[in-house]
Amino acid sequence: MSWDWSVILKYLPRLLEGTWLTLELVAISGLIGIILALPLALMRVSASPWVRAFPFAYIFFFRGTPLLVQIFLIYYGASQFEAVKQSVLWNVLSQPYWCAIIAFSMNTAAYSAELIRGAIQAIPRGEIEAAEALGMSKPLQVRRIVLPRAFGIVLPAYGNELILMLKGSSLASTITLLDLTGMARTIIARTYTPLEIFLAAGVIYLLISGAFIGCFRLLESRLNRYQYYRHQVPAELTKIDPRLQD
Amino acid sequence: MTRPQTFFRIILPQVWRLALPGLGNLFQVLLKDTALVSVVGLDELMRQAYVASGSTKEPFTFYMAAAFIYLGLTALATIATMLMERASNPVSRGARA
Repeated sequence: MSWDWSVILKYLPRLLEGTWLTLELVAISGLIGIILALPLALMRVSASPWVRAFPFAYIFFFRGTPLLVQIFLIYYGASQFEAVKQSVLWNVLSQPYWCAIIAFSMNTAAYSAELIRGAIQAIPRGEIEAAEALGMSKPLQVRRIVLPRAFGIVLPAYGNELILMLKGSSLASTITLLDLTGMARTIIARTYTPLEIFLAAGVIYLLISGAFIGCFRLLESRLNRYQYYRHQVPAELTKIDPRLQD
Repeated sequence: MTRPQTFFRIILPQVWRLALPGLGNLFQVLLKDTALVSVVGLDELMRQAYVASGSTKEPFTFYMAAAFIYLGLTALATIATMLMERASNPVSRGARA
């Protein structure tokens, strides 16, 4: 066995091309996913069981089945119906790119909705009661109290979800897309150097998730800074009662 | 108690109870990730669905069937974890907290 570094260097531009598609998939479906997740999460915490039923079923399905099944269901499954093939929908569903975006968006929406639900339920009860006591209407409460608070709580978990999605996006290569993994497989078919190229692809994934982690750390220390803020008790107060120091 | 006794009688039962939800979750993730081995050609559920949908030209039917089988398996795993969580927690078995 021989190890060939030069093949990595030679095909790096193609790998970066694939990296771009991977980032594009993650960014677009992440955005659509979060837009879908918000109403789902709000419905999920509703008091009415009828409103809760739909998001529950949706989340149960998308969290209970593998992402690969979901991708295949949309990409291959849609072609089974003549009605779909005749409609304008086919312009979208015949393209692997859009099928991947649809599958990833719906998948990440389910996971994010569950994260947001957890965050909403983790908001201290007193804050909602305070909002109610001030006479805020329900929509106003959601807009001013629930969502901003949930956003801060959900941030670390959402960073995790984004990294899982980045790694899940490698499944786009199974429906012929040339994302980072797909590109690596194409290069390997030509050069027959799987170790070198997959190593390079692995390092690129590692670097991207490292960058994601860094970004979320920054965002978190900025948005949740009240948690790290050291509270200063005025000197006059500690003179009255030293216990106030804590 | 000796060190092994401390571990098996005191530490492990408590660790087990606290670790169960995480382990159950991990097990579900692993269950779903088994679909990925179909990419390298092992004849598991996903691969069978792929072959069947190729020969019958009914991909939606077979992938949907596969999805529901996975769904059943994860639901089963959830129930099993729930039962194990209940069994590992003395309070839910009727002991007083």
